[in-house]
Amino acid sequence: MKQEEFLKRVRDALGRPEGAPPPDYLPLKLRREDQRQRAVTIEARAEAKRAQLIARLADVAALQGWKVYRAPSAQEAVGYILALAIEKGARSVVRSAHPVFLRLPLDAALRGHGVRVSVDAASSGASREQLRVTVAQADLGVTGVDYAVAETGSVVLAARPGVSRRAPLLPPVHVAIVEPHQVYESLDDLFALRRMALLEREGDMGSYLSLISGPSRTADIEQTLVVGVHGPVEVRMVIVET
Amino acid sequence: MQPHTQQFPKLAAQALANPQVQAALAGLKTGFDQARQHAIGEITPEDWEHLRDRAREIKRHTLEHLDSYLALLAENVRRNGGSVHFAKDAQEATATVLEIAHRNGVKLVVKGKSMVSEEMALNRVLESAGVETVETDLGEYIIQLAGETPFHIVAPAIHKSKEEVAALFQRKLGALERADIPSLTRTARETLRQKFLQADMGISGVNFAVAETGTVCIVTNEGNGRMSTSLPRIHVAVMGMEKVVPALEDLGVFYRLLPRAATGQRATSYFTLVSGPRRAADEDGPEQFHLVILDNGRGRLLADPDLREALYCIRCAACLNICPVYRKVGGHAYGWVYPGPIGAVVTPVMVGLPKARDLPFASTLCGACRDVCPLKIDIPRMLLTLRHRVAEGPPAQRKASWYEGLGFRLWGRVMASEQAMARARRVALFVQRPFARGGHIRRLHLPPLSRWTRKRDLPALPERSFHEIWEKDLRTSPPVVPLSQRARGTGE
Ligand code: SF4
Repeated sequence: MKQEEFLKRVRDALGRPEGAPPPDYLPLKLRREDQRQRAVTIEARAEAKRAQLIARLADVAALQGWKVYRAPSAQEAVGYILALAIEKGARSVVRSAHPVFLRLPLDAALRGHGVRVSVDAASSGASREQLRVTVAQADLGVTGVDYAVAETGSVVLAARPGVSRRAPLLPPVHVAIVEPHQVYESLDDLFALRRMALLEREGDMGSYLSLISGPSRTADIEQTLVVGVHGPVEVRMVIVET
Repeated sequence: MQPHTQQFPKLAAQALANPQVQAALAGLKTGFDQARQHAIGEITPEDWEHLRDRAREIKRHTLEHLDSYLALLAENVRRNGGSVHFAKDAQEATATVLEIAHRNGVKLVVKGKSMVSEEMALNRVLESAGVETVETDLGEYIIQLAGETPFHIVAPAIHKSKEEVAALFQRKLGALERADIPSLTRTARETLRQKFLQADMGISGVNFAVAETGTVCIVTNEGNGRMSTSLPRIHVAVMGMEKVVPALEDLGVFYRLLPRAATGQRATSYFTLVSGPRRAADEDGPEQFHLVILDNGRGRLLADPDLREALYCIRCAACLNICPVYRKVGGHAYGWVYPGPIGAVVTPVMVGLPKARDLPFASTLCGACRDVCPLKIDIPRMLLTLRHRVAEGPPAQRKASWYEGLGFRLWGRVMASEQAMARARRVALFVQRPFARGGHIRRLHLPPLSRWTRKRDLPALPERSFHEIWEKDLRTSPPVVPLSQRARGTGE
């Protein structure tokens, strides 16, 4: 059915005339400057209570089923992930091309222990089909994140070059690396910041935004909780506190 | 899906007689409902009430301007590079999806959980057109293998025991090593993982669609939603037209309500927001994104001021888990896609009241559904409205038999007069004497009365009425003079 016909049916059901004035809805009316003001406030608030927010994130994430490691330094974060790879008997690790890896010498450490490391990004030179197979067979997926939300114990990944959807999804273990400046208090903060990004990027907020708040789980058989249905069986959050 | 809503009494009786179904239903209150209470207990009652009111307000506003918001949504989906398809009914919607599948040479479809696709009977249509279609939500997968329909909105296979699931997997998927729940889940994981990687098209439902950004939002725990919207080269999202919300920031409200009300979680494992197909610079993701927006009877709810509120529903199933009727008769008795209290409201409107006239009566009107509903939807009020419409409808569609009508007319007469009431009591006491034992009438032999006592005892009329007890034993103050007999104009 044509859009116009469909909308006319809706209008008829509502008894609304055609060309009625557009709805007056406050959250839609905030323009770029106002939204920026809000974003600045949110950043300042998060900055002021960073330590508290990180502690809360760690607590809630643990309740949500993450294993959380607060790494005092980048070196220790690398050491933790390496130990995990060894513990899991991982032969192949994929990671995203997130900027956090510029500060985290993970590849060298893993390769030093004979673990194959692949970067799931077109920039690595591999073909798309190759990359897909590599990720599907990897034992560990390591990614950076764009935000972390203390309220829900979530990490948030947005579409950007170098960050695939599948790297945190297909391998049985997902390691999410969180940096302190990414931690925000609430869902409201997250969506307000994303709206800012939308207004700054001429209405395109990117093709996806993924909130991850624990391992893949189900209770579909006899209401019994089982983790690792489709996505990762195990999720680790590494908060690098430098 | 073809409704068999007319069979409610028969299907309900079958469920009542099935111990396996009864055991599963008994677990809903201790499982889902307690989890819900616990999760809500984590935030302050004021915050919870504030969220509920805010959500109601957003829904009210959105529906009032639904045409504008749908237009905005469509505009933004297109701006993101996606296509939008409007469908007035299930047939149109399925035809659209089928056409997209054919045009792109799709052989294998993976599906996320979607109640709207149940309305469309999408699996059946795709399968009969030669497109293999696999449900990927574990519960949906189980009922697809079993050839059934969802028993519950959130947990579709909750009525099946692990033994039944094991037998089913054995039959359909071949040998199983072990039949415990984690092993069964692993079997499903391995089978479905292959499907995800091979599928050409992923179909998902939509929990919320953001008009401002052209975004569809999918709430899942299993991750099948993320799989089906990330891996195949085409993503088709199907939504009922009421799912739109105006602004990105409205999600903060709804994503706090839904997981808590549905599964007692502060957040589900995944909340996935999809805004169109992959962009050129993205590493992966579908090349095509299609949004199918469906009316299928929702327009009738929208046009009906008494029932419009039913469109606020976010399908959390909290009202099912608390309902004394659903928790006895289960999901299949309701005969269509949406069971439980909310199903008893929307189904009669969506499939037609004459076909589903039993449903509004499948309620004790206890009000528990309204109390637990995150949107505070006044389901009992709407059930009464529908009952009224059944009662006032054409005689052939009325629910009550002639003797029920006669009975109630007599009852009305008797209740209106004190003398008639006392006389009727004396007659009834005399008549019940041979049947009453220990304050109960256990069995009546005369139809239609025997139907009442087939499944329950009828309390016998006590020897002394409350009126008598009050007058003789309890009254301490002088009788109140009825208004009509008081002297007028004295002002006491
Ligand atoms: S009516 Fe309310 S409680 Fe029932 S499913 Fe809908 S939102 Fe949930």
